[in-house]
This record gives sequence, structure tokens and C-alpha cells, in this order.
Amino acid sequence: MPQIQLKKIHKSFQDKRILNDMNLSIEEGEMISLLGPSGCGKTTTLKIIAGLVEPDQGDILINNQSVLNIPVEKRGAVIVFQDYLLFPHLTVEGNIEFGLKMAKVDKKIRKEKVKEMLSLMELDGQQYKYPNELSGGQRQRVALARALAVEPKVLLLDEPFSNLDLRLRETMREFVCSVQRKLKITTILVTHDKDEALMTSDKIAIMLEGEIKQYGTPLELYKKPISEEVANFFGETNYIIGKVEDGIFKSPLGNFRTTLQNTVKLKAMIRPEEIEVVSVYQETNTKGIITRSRYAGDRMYYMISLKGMEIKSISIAKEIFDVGEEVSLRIDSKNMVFYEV
Amino acid sequence: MKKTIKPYIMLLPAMTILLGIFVAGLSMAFLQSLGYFPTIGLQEFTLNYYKEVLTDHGFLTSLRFSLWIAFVSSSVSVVLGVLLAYSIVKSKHKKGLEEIVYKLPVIVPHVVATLLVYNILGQSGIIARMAYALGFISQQSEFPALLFDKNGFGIILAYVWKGTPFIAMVVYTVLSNMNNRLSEVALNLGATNKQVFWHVLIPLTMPSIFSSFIIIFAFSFGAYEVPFLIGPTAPRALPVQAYAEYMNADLRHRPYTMTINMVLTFISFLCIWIYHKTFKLLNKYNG
Repeated sequence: MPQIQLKKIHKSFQDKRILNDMNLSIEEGEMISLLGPSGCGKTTTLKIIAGLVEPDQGDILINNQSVLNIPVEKRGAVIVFQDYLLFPHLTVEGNIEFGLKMAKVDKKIRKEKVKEMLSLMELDGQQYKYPNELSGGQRQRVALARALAVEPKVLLLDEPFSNLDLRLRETMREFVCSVQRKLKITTILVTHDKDEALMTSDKIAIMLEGEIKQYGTPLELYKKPISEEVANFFGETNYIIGKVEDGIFKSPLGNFRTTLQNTVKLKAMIRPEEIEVVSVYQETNTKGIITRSRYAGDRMYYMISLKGMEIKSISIAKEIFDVGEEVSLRIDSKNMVFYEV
Repeated sequence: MKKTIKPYIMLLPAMTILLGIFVAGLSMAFLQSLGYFPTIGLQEFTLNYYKEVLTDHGFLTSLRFSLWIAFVSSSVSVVLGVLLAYSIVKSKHKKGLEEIVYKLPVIVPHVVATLLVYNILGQSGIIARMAYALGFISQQSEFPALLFDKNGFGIILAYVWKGTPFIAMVVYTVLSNMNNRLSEVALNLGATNKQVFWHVLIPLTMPSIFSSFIIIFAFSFGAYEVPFLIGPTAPRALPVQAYAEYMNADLRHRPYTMTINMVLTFISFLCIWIYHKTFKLLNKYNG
């Protein structure tokens, strides 16, 4: 049974529709991402789960019970905000124990919890500092410790890494994932960074314009996007129009075996990394001319002109081809995704 | 060289007035309080005036009375002002009118505020008249003497009427500029609205609450017109006492006046020092 369920959530702000018929269910202990561009309603969704914003319609279930009438302070869904929002007048210790203090937890237990959190977050010795004396990464960890100290049912992370520089972001991402796995706490991560979502999550919900367009494992979303907009969101794509005849997809890129029924017109999506650029002397059925080439160290980004089409390819930079050179394309068709036209 | 001296030269006109009048006045008062007043033949420095004044029962009663008025009126203003500011911030509807109305008493001079209190609370004031019309009292003297009473009720009321909106103005500005999301965070961590108020909003506004408390405290401690107009004859507020001594035709009273003034000045400086310290506190977690 899923631990958290959002059922047909609608939300508008001043006639502007933010969330439209949103459904989502999350299993206990899972880490999922809400992935989408800014303004797509991700943060609003978190606030609705936490109880900071009321939905116009729909229901939220936590452990199979509706929490709509449970006020924010009793709901047990704690957000870690993008800009941390530590209490500036409290020390690290004061921040971490804040929730417990509000719940009138005994001082001794609070101190224990603070100690436990400090060591979990690798913040030992920092407890008497004020937030303005900490670095970005430390503030982030204090914010996380403050949220975890109240032992929430659900941890909500609102773009938690976007204020950190690149290297720290990776470290913190690993760190948060390891803490999440250790505590097995149900976590929803909001992000606009697809790499972040792919690397951290058990499942990803793609949100576009207030709707969840697809919800599945990172692999499913990347390899089998159910629509073009989802495919496009995950990066570069090639679309080829063709038709299926007797189990063969016939297209300008070549003929590929398929299990699909005969159709007159079909669009195939193929990722650039499934198309490898090789020397023209290697025998393949597809040949084209390089029109653009970008060197990215370990990879090459090519644009190939072929029968009036522009095809994108990402190849390993073992052999480098120049603009204007004729090349052969080796296409791996098993990850092709077909859409109706 | 030219560059370093230039700002000082440019500040000179303002500083002449500021330092000239302030420092000269203050040093003269200080010298006179020490018994140095050559105009009337007093040439010897002595601490006797301080000794006399500081042990004088009348002076101590006045000092206590002034401190009482200042403390009570400022404290009441702070409590009311903070509540007023908080309720304006919290109120959901449009804030056009209420943002202006509550500030009005700030621009009304203290003398006018005193007259208002006089007209409302006096034994011949509006409330007394209403009580008479409704048959609660049958003559003027039955109405409690709220003005000129020895607890300074009327004075305190006038100061509260002036002080509350001032505090509210300061606190409202701080509260409305404060990150509203900190309250959300606190709620999210399980705090009730009351706890948010006490554990987040109050501590964060405390430095400004405290410094505005000091401002109105220092003012109501040192100002003279309100207790002069609606204060009791005994005990007199310290500034009124100083004024009366100053107006004494016998110039030999002057050193006493100046001693009282020095005490007033000392307490005011103390307030400035505390004010300064609270700003440091503010910077501790905002810097």
C-alpha cells in the first residue's frame, strides 16, 4: 500500500492554474523526484503535501488517511527549503532542536537528538555557531538535520542543492542519498535538474504545466518516454518518420526490425547516443555528411546531414571526424520509441 | 593631506552648532553642578551639591516618580504596540487605511496629546460628562481624579497614546520586511501560531523592540511638558523639578538645578549606551 497518495489535486492562484488533476503515489521508504522546469508547480505540490498550501480540490492520503484537515504543524511532512531558511537568531543546536522544543520534548532527549544529528550530518563541534558563521554546505546540513530531528513521516526537499556550487552539489547529493538510505525515510525531491533526478531517485515524476506527464523509474523515463514532450525534456532527440510493413520499420535512416503492426505513418524517437558515427569505410546502410562537430573531451557531438534531415549523434571521441566528411552511421534500434503521427 | 581634512572642513558648520551648543551647554551645566558659578561668586569646586541632591528625599521621590512613569508608559506602549503591529500584519484584508490611521498619533505633538487626555479623562472631561449624563455620578468630584494623581495615571496615558503607535510603526516595518517564510518553516516543524510568535517573531524583532523602548523611555523620562501640564504637584517629575529650580529667582539654586540636569543627562547617556549595545546584538546574527 502506498504511503503517500495525491488524488486529483487541483490548485489555482488568482485564476492561474498551477496544478491540474494531479495524481501520485509513493511507497514507504522510497525516494522520488518531482522533475520539471521552474513554474511547473513542483514547489506548490510540496507545500500542499506539507499543509502550507490548501488544494482547491482533491485529497492527500498519508498512511491511507486523509490529512486535509490536519494542520501543517501536526502533519509530519517537513520541507527543507532551497534557501535553507535557518533561524538566524538561533545557534546550530537551537535550530536542530527547534521542532522538538516546540513539541515540548524533554531537554535531555533533545540534547541526545541534537548530538545524534550532528554526528549524522558530520557537523560535530559546530553546535554553538550561528547560521551566518557557516558555509553553504554546512547550512544545508543543518537544515536537513533540523527537518530530520522531528522524525517526519515524509521528508520534502525543495531544490536542496541548487544553491551550492558544482562540486559541493555532488558531494551533498551523495550525502543526502546515503542518509536517506540509512534512515529509510520517504522522501520527495523537487528539482529541475534531470541528472540529479536520474541519479538520486527510485522513481521520477515528470511535471509539465501542472500535470504529471509520466511517473516511473529513471530507466523507464529515459528509455521509454510515453510522449514527445517527456522525451524532449530528458535531452536531445532525433525523430524519424517512417512506416511499418511486415514487421519492418522503413525510414530514411534505414530499415529496422519491429514487432509493431503495419501502419502508414509512424514517428520514431531515437537518442543521439544510440547513433554512432563511424568511418565511411565501415559498411553500414546509412551514410551522411558531418555538418557540425563539437568536441567535449570524452564525447563528440555531431550533426549529420542525411537525405534532407539533420541527425544528432553523441559518439565516443575515439576517432574524430571533421565537418564535410562523409561518414557511416551505426544505429542501435532496440531503444527506438515509436509515437503515432 | 587635503583629502583627509576635507570632510572635516565640510562638516564644520554642522558640527559647530551641534558640538558648540551641546558640549558648551553640557560643560557649563557640569561646572555649575560642581559648584563653579563665578557670576554669583561661587568659585570652589565641590561635590556637596551632588551629595545633597542625591540624598534629598524630594529628589529621590521625583527620580522614582519619573522612572516609574517612563518605565510603565514605555512597557505598556511596547506590549500594545507589538500586538497592534502583529495584528495589522496578520489581518487578511487590504491594508490601505489601517496602515495610515495607526500612525496618526505619532505626528501629534505631546502638548496636544496632553490636551486630549485632559479633555477626555479630566473631572470635567468627556468621560466624566458622559458618566454624569448617564447618572453614574451626581457631581464632578465623584469622578476619579485620574489626572494630577500621584501615580501619574494621566501622564502615563498620554505617553502610551503617543508611544504605542511609534512602537507599532517600528515593529510593523520589521515584521513585514521579515521573511514570512521563517514562520512557515516554524509551522512546518510543528510550532503552533503562538509558538511562532514567541519563538520566531518576537526574538527576531527583539532588537528593534528594545531600541524603540529605549527611545520612548528616554523621552518620557526627560520630557517636561506632559508631567508639567497634567502631573501632580507632589511628587513632581524630575524634569518639572529641574524646571522649577531653574525658574527660582535665587541664583544660588542654580547648582541644584544643574545637578538634577546632570542626573537626567547621565540616565539619558545610559540609555544611549544600552541602545548601542542592542544594535550590536542585532548585528550578531544579521551581519
